[in-house]
Amino acid sequence: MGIGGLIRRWRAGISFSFPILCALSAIFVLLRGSISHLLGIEWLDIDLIPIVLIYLLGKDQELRAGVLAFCMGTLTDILTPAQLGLFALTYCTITLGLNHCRQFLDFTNIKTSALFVAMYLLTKWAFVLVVLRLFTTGNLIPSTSFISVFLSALITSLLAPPLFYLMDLAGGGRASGTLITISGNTHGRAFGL
Amino acid sequence: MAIFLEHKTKWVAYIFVALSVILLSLSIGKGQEWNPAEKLAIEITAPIQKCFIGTVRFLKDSWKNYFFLAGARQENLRLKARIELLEFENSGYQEALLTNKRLQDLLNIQDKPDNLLLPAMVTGWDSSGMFKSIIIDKGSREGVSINMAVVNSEGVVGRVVSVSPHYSQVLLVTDQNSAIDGLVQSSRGRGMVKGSGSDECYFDYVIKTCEIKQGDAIVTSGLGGIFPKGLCLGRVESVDDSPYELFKDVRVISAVNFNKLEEVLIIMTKDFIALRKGRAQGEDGALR
Repeated sequence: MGIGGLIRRWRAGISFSFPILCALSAIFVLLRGSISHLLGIEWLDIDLIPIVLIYLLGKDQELRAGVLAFCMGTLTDILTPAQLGLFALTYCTITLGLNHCRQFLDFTNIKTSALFVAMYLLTKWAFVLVVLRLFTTGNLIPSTSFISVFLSALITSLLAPPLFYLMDLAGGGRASGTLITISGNTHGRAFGL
Repeated sequence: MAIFLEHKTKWVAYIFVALSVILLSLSIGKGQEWNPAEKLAIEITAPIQKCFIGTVRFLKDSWKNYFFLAGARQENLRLKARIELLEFENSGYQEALLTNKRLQDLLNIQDKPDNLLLPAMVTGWDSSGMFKSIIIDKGSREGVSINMAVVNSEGVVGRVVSVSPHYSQVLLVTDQNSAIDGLVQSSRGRGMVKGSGSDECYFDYVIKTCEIKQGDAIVTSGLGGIFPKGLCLGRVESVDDSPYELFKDVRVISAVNFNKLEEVLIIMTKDFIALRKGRAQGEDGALR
């Protein structure tokens, strides 16, 4: 397939498919620690995976969100000294919980979606701490980390709208109006969904 | 079956959660060692991290070597003057070293075991933001095994917790799960250096009678069999001696600057050195 073919596929909204989204997420997980270290922001927990998961949930792609949550969680588990399954369980449980409550949540609004990203991160931290408490000897995180957790949630939620926009744009969808970039079933073509 | 197909999405999500719980349950009590599947994943993914780190280092070095040379001549002159001063000091130390060696011989004190140091490069940093660990480019093929000490010129970096054929994971001293038995270098007071998750560590279980003050060096005690005695762990930042507490509350700043950590040294164990010597002798014998 030539470049012209690729552009046609992109315009048709099928070029940037779910496997590419998975690959980009995996690269993010792999390089996240190194990038944070290079930038000197290791104390911040900027996690873009919840943004992608919320985006997929907003597109009614629960199954794909579940698969992505499990895969990225497992990859994070491998790359950290944590018990295998800790982050996989965290991502899967929160994604499942959000999916169950979707009738009460407004994924069509970009502001509330960004808020869900922040809530997702805060829940992730709480969940990890609870699981660590239950399954290990119970180490406490230092008090200063709570500030960094809230700051991380804030920064990540601020990153969410442009990323939603970029994902829609990359998917070949018309993203001229930011509010329609995450609008439930009305934008099913993005990421070849 | 019809119910499963009807709610396929939800069932699959539940299966993933159950799978995660099974993974977590299976890994509990098995330490932080990588299983074969994890080793395979690391062998595949670590080269990507290594490539990224290598590229960044190349760009950084290019910038430093070619574009950031303003004032290099002045610095060169200053460093030459400093070298002269240090050479003069060094001659004094050489004399002291020879005297020390002579006295040691007189007292028949055996020298420290000849530790073999294996250099390694940092290829990746922790991806979760919740733990402090690094991945290095030396693994079991190079003789690295779990619980080997990892140091650099400044002091203790951490210990190896997982090993794959070409890569290893190192738990840093600043991680909350790290605890190393330490000594106050000057007063020989005992305590336990525990990570806090930040660049700071706690020096716990320091008894009230122990003499310790700000700036004191904390070194490894050699207990536990992982870290050799006398390696620098850090310097005391603050000491809080509350009358209502059983122990002194001591905070320590790690000796290693983790922001600039690029290369590390793995201290190979005696077993590995003996094995290597045995192999070398075997090869010599075979040649004869």
